[in-house]
Amino acid sequence: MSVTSESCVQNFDPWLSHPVRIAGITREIPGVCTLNLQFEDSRLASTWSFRPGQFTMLYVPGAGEAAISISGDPGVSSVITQTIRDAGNVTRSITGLGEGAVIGLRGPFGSCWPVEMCRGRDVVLIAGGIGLAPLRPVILQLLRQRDQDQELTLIVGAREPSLLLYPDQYDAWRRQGLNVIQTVDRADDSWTGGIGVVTAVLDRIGLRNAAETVVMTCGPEVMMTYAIKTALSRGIPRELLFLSMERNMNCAVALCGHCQFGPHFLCREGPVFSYRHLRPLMRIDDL
Amino acid sequence: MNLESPNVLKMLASTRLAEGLTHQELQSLGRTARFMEVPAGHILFREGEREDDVFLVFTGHVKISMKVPGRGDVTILTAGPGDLVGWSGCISDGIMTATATTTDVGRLIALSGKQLKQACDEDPQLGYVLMKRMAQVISRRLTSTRIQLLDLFSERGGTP
Repeated sequence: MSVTSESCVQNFDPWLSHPVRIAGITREIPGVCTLNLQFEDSRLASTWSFRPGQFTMLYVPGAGEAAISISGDPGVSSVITQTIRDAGNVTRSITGLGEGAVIGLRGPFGSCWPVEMCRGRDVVLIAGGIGLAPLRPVILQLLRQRDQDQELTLIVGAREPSLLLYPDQYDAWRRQGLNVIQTVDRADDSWTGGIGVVTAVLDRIGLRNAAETVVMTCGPEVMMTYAIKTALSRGIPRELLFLSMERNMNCAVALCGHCQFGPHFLCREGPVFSYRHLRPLMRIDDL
Repeated sequence: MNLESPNVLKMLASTRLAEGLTHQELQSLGRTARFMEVPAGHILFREGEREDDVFLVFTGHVKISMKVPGRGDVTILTAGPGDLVGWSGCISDGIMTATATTTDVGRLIALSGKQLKQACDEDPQLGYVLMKRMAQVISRRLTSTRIQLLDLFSERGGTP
């Protein structure tokens, strides 16, 4: 049973880790950086591709592997862009590396956001914290394929203004037609954006046709739960609600069971799910 | 402050507060309402002071702040289009628990708390519907505050 709207099956050896060189590092916010990776094998650089929402397994010899969302432009194949938060030994090892270092990459893995479903529909993206990273490829693709009549909205939340991800890109996105609404939990008087939670923003934004609006959300699970609840109360059908789940993905090929979520393996059937399929599981404590 | 009114009834009818009201009930609600257009930085009400009006935001944003010794005014929330602020004027003693300041040009409807309470007393059906709506507003605000208190974005871990 497919639990997302779009198939992301790709043919490659899932166990093979390819050497990639860190071509660039952007320090985003404390503890988070974005890497631009390039394949050492130039043939791979021309054939490798991913779809928004997918992830790769990045490998550092001596440290191990970690699943990292792809945050780059799916239309650009020469560079793989991934945003990493140093939350553990492996990710800390990766973010501690410098330009020119070579690490291993497997993938891409997992399901993808329903970008094709968005054609002719308004879209609301709701991101919290580093949850904006896996939604960034969607933003870039949606802006490229946007109809003049289509309304695209991004509600992005963070703990405080200095912790908003990619703030230097918001103006460019706005110029291309994305309505970017920023909100933070706390801020001083110099902050001109909103204060409050993303769900409160979702509760009040204008929706031209809720029944034909696609919502995609990524962030802390409690935030996503309430975002979906709010979206449903606004009349958005559950079939048009999508979320990206995070669990400890270890093998990325649905063998080890570390990322099992009820009957699903998040590394294979996720991380992007349709709410319609995930709904019964989201009511179970500690799943 | 510009009190020249566009169609206040029409504006009211488009709000969640007035959802499900009969024409007559809407007329009663309309009698308590007046339109306001205010500049950025306009203070709608101050913490600790008595205020009769309850405000429905149509355009613009309103920051809700509280005074904290040593820190000054701390903004705890930004209200926007569709939000209701200053409900103390209607459901409690009218002493405001926070200060509300517009952050940009705002178009609002001010509902007189005193008249609103009177209309609700005279027409319990209207009172029931309006109080139910206000309870929903307060419930949503409470949920938002709870989510904010969880400090979700500070969570770490999950990734090796």
